[in-house]
Amino acid sequence: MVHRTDQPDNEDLARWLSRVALGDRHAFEQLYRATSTYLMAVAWRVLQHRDLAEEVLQDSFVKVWHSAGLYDARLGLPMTWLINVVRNRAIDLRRSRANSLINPHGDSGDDSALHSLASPGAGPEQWLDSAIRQIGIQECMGQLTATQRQALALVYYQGLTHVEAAQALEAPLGTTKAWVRRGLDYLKTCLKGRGVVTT
Amino acid sequence: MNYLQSERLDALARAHALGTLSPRAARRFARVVASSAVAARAVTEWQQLLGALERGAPGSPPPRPQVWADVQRRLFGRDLPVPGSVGAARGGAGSAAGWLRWPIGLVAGAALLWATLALRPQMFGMEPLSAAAPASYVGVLQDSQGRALLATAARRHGLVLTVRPLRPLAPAPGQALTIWAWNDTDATPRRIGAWTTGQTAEIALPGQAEALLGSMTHLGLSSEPVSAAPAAPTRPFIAEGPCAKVW
Repeated sequence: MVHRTDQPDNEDLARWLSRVALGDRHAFEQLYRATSTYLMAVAWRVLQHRDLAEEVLQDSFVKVWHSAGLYDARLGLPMTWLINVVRNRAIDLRRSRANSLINPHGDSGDDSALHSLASPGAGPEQWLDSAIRQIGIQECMGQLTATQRQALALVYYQGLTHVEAAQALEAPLGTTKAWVRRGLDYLKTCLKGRGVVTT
Repeated sequence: MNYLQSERLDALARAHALGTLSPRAARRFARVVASSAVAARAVTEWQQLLGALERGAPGSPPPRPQVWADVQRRLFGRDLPVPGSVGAARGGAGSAAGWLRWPIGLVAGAALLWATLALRPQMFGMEPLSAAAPASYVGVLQDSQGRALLATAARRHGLVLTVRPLRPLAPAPGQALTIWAWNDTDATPRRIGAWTTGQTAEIALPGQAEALLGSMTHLGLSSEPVSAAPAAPTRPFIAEGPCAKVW
């Protein structure tokens, strides 16, 4: 079964992180229980491989235990920090195994739900569309072409490099970079316009 | 190259947050981020913007139970107690009280606490992280007779100060045990926090320990009315001691 979870409360996360920084194992477990499913999905979207996503999750929580004291509440929300810990690790792993991944059929094959996610009609572009609808910035982001959205989705959700995205889209590298940049600029403008982010 | 030039910084921060910088450029820019609050804010802004894309994105199956078990095994090993059962190992600091003498006792006490943090961190509700103790502010406060009365510890960037009485410590009804800090150049004590139980406790700090204790060299313990937030401590202090950086 595929689970979708809402983001946990950031106040709770901040409190748990501050206690984890002191070596509080109970807070660490609370943090894991509250975020692991959500963060698993972040890793899975990059890797599309359950075993590797779990490996990333494991590595990430080991890092969180050692680095919780580095989280600075003045600079951002705890969930943002956690997502980046996981996403960066997932991208590192993906790139280290570049040619053997991005193959949904490389999974262990024991979870039909994962395959359904990776099937046509449920890829990065659809994830981006879903996120845009959820945030409520369809109209604003609608000014992007389908290809620009596709480029942004590939680079963000699957952690593709610009070169890889260009190959996937069969487009020149410079053009692909421009698509991604334009997509991000729109995203920034739209999110700020909606007050979704306040920075 | 001036990484902090506005447009260049935004482009680098965007690429860094997105993960599209080359490994070499990412390492170089990470050093800039570590040393520049402006760069750190720029990266965080893009991370926050991109993090919004996680909303509404499809989920995945939850991680299998083995993942949590593996995390615990990697961090704590199989033989360590489960969460909530820490505290069985006690007694090192208290037994040392007999030979503590001012000022040698202060130094020895801080060293003892440092060693305790490194070797038996469960005394403070902490767990072993690695061979090295975590970067922390620690203190051993002694009474007027040179007896170690209270140990304190706070992670360098933590938001909590752990206080652990090394001898019985019972505040009078209506009184709060209050921690103060000051330094050699400005002897005016600053109130750090208070608690009322006289037991081991975790006091929430109003900011990161680094900001509160970074310039402090001494800690003091006083008893103050619970209902008041005094600007100055009641003298004399119940106990005093050095505020040491352990890293």
